[in-house]
Amino acid sequence: MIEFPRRSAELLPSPVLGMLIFVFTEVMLFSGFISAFTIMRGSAVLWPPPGQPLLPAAETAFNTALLLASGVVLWVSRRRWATQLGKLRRGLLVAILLGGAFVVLQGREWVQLLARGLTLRSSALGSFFYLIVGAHALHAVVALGILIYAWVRLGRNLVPKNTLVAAEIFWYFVVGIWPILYWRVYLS
Amino acid sequence: MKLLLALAAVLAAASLPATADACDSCLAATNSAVQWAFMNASIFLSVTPVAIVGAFVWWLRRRAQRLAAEEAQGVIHLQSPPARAASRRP
Repeated sequence: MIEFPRRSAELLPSPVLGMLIFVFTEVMLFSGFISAFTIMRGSAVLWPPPGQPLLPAAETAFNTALLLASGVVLWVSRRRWATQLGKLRRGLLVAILLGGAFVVLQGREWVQLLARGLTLRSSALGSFFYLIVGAHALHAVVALGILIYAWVRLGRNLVPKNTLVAAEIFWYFVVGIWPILYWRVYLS
Repeated sequence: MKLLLALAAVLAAASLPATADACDSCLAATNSAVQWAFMNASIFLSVTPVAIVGAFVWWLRRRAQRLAAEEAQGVIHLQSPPARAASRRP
């Protein structure tokens, strides 16, 4: 009887557990932001505050679609090509490009809003907008940096599987929390 | 006696939050929209951590069952924690 070598497995690898704990704290951070924004929004008599521009919900919907597509591409790539590094790397690159497009378009939106008078100090809307969306943008940039690092290392087959999974979890968090932020900040 | 007095004060505050000025929602709610916002924020912040921890425990349990089944089939071998592995050595 031929015995195949058995693959070694861990219940919860340390990089994955560490990232899950980090993501949990980040979810609570954004929950706090959203709750504070909801209360402030509820107590405002006029919304948006007088003299402040409306947030570009339609344009941001397109950016949201790009970010969601990035998450889906990464998910599908990992599920379909877990052992085919070339294809996995290509999928990762597409996810990075879509995520990068989201960050660039959001940056362009910020420039336009600043030009229209929405600044950090112009109103409660401006303060919360730049705090919440800015915190998310910061997370997106850091997560993209990690994905790019993983993509470069994957080319030389130097990324441990669990490190890649941890990087993925962070990106799914960035992708998954954005529709909630979009709904609360742009649409409510 | 002190304990009883403290308990009575806590009970009074809990039963009459508006009188005790102990409820954010009652204190700061100038209208129903603010009260609604406070209620929603309280529920959201209470439910979110419980839901996340609950989902994590559920996922971990499912993964443990799947890995145990794979180990039973001889597909994988589960790594033991170092202390357990060391204690098994002869």
